[in-house]
Amino acid sequence: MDDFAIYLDGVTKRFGPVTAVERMDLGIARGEFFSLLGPSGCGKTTTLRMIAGFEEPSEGAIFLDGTDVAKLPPFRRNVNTVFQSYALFPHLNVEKNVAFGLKRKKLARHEIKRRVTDALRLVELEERRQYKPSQLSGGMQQRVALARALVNLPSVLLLDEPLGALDLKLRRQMQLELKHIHKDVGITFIYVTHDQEEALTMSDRIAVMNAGRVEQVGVPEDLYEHPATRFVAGFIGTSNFIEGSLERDGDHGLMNLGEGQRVLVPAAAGGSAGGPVELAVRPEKIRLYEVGQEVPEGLCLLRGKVRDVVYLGMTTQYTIEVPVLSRQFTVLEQNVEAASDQTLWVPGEETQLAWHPSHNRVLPAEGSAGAQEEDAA
Amino acid sequence: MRRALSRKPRDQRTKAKGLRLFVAGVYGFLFAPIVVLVLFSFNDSKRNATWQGFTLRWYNELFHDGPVLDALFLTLKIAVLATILATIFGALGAYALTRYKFRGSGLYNGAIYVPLVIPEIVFAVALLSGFNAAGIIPSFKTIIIAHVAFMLSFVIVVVRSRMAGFDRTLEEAAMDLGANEIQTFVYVTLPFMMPGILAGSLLAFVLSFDDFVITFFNSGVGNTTLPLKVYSMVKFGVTPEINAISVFMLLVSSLLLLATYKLQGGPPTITVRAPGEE
Ligand SMILES: Nc1ncnc2c1ncn2[C@@H]1O[C@H](COP(=O)(O)OP(=O)(O)OP(=O)(O)O)[C@@H](O)[C@H]1O
Ligand SMILES: [Mg+2]
Repeated sequence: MDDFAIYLDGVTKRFGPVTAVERMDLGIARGEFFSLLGPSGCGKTTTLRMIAGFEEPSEGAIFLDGTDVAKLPPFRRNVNTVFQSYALFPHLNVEKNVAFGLKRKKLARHEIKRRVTDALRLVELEERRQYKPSQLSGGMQQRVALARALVNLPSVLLLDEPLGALDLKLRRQMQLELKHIHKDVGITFIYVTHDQEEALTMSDRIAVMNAGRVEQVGVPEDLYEHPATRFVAGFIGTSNFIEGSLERDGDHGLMNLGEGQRVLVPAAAGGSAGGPVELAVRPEKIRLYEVGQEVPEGLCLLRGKVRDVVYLGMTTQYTIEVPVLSRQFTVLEQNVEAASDQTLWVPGEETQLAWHPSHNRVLPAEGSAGAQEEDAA
Repeated sequence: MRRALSRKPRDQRTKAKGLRLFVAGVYGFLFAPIVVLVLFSFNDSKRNATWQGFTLRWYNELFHDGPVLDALFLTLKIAVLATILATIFGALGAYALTRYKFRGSGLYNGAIYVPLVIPEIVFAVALLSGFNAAGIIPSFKTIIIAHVAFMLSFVIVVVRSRMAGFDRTLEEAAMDLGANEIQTFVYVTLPFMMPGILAGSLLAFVLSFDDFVITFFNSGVGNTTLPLKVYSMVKFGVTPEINAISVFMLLVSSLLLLATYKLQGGPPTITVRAPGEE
């Protein structure tokens, strides 16, 4: 536990009948850029507020640098927050906003001045130090909020959707800046977002949350390539889901998709033999072949008919009807050649879908239909 | 709608003219006495009947009239003291009422309007009988208590309307940055409340400064404030000196209300909320 900047041990938070966070276990290493990712209302803010000290857990314990902070008020915790609404003090100018925390620590005046200047230089707002928050743009206010928190050199910095109010372009730019600042200061960042792309580009590790629970914790590639639950497979990127049951076959698993269709699945796949499971396949892992064209040995193979073609520039997205499973597949193809009628598939064409069995992800069945639509892209 | 549009423009013009006359009449009725009062305070005549020429004599006399000056200083003393007390209690009350939900907080929030809407004389008599029941003899102290009681609601209502726009995240941000509860209040909440507090206190000062009814009932012997003094002087006829006193009081009140206006960025607002409304 001492190795972690933050350790949550079975933390639960209930608001009356609502359970906002349920039995959360989480260890976040020092210096890590850690993201909490999940849809609206899944308990991300509540988790941050418990770490900051604004909410008390109903159950469980929170350790900050190895010490239980459950009974410490917010002003005794070595944690600072960048609020989604920035919460800059409207009656103080930039400089005084940033100095607020240092003044409470009763540091010497020249020390305060030096650190405020450093922090403002870090966020490139030195020349705006006399401005009132209302005289700054949204992006500048965001950076003041960041400087105001960072200047205290907390052990952990909590960021609650700090870029949520910015437009896309500024958002991208601030993502990079935040990443740089994190590298510079070496402080542990806990970053809340509901934007999977943002989480993937910025984080060392991500915890995917759903309805108050942590579904999976891992590095971005892991979450994308090896989702542990159907929710993760649907929330991070898009997946094609097929229900079926798991059968055993020597070294490999074998999954029965019904209608006599069987596919090989990696041996380590979850689920017990005979039980209902779901198969998830990423759209970009599937290749399309002409009917009658030779398909390499050992691939999973289905026949289908092109329903819909969406040209996206870099890629083309196809919706393909697979009658034998009576469902539609989404397939994403790279536009390696210049796009034309010759290179693109057209609606109504018969085709073969093929993919390597190593791309099959077998997930415990949830019975929650429509996870594919939860794609946040 | 259609009928209104098809009406002859001429018809509309006469209507607008009638309306303008009506408005002019209302404003004339409101302001003519005040204008006359101000004018005649510069009238070089002992009687208020005819214009005899311009003079500052009455103002000169006013500022050399011992009893009137005594009354003025007493009025100011009461107003300042009562305003300070009412501002402190009122600001704290407004903070508590907006910031905390407690049993009966809806009732308290609504009850604040009672002193604003009941007839002043009822309030004055109620205070007097309260003092009597408690065996307190009307004196300088009872005037202060009565004024504070009367002003409190106004201060609370004004400060509360300011507090309604307060973002509680600011307090959380302060605590997050290491400020304890008291520092959070002093450095973040109070500065935000300040325009409301100032506006409320100016309003309270004006109310105390020109109050007649409540002071009249609760002042006891010898505590003659300026309004009481004017009242006793008027018994012997309206002299130009009374005009001058009135103009002076008018000036003080107007300036303070103007300051309130500036502070609130609009006319002094008294927002009425239903009890229990957030
Ligand atoms: N103070 C509160 N009282 C009652 N319920 C609350 C309170 N705070 C949060 N909740 C509930 O807890 C659940 C989680 O809320 P939370 O704010 O943590 O979600 P979130 O993941 O931050 O969502 P978003 O992305 O929309 O900000 C929600 O159902 C919410 O209604
Ligand atoms: Mg939130």
